[in-house]
Amino acid sequence: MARVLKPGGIVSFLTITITPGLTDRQRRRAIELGDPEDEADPGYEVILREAGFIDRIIEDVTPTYADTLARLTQAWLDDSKAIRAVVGSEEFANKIDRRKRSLTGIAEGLHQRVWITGQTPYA
Amino acid sequence: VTDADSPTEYSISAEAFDARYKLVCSPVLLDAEERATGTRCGVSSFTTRDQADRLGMILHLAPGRSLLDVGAGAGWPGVYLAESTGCFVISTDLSIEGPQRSSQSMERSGVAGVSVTASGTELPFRDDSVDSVTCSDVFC
Repeated sequence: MARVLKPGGIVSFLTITITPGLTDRQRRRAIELGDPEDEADPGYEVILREAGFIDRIIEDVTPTYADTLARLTQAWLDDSKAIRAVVGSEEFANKIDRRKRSLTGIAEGLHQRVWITGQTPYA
Repeated sequence: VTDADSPTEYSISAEAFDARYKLVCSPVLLDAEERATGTRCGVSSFTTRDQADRLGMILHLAPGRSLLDVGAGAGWPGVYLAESTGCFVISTDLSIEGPQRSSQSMERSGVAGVSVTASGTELPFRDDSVDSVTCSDVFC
């Protein structure tokens, strides 16, 4: 993505990751509870810096993610009959299960959603 | 645009996303999305409208500026940002269905933009060609 940005261009994106700094046991638990991106060492700050981005900002937006995830889960449960008819009972059950496991991962501090911003230097 | 290193894997992923975008744009799922988030865009990420609005400010989006939305699915939030800020949006997704939906949204909204089927790792654009890039929950 950095390649296509003009000098002075800005990248700003959101992603769900395993919380950095977990023990091996916690990481295994985090993976069991969902499939967030497994943020590779050394993390986004270093990745952005090494890619030449300046003015790097990394913000934890997990609470908003948790709220949205909970609302979507409840919306599906509230209209379960109609949604099952569209997606199928198996997919419905899988989706609800994945969302509930993700909410558990958030509650246990194992999953997070982060907002990452950086700018390419001016020429 | 194809992923030359793994064409079979690419095809399977694209088909899976095609099926997903058809579902999220079905009326009953759009209703659920609207009740939960207030949007009705076939959203396949967790970016809220407030966060999309803030993205527009962070990226300094305005008429004359361009936004590349990678892995945009049916067009959220790129098409919304083009509509609200007047920027030019380039919406890309691995699937065929996503860009088709995104293109329809652009036409409905009257925004300037293009939709392209492309892998985020093989973007078919020139170096130094866009003012800003975003993506939502693409890497997870």
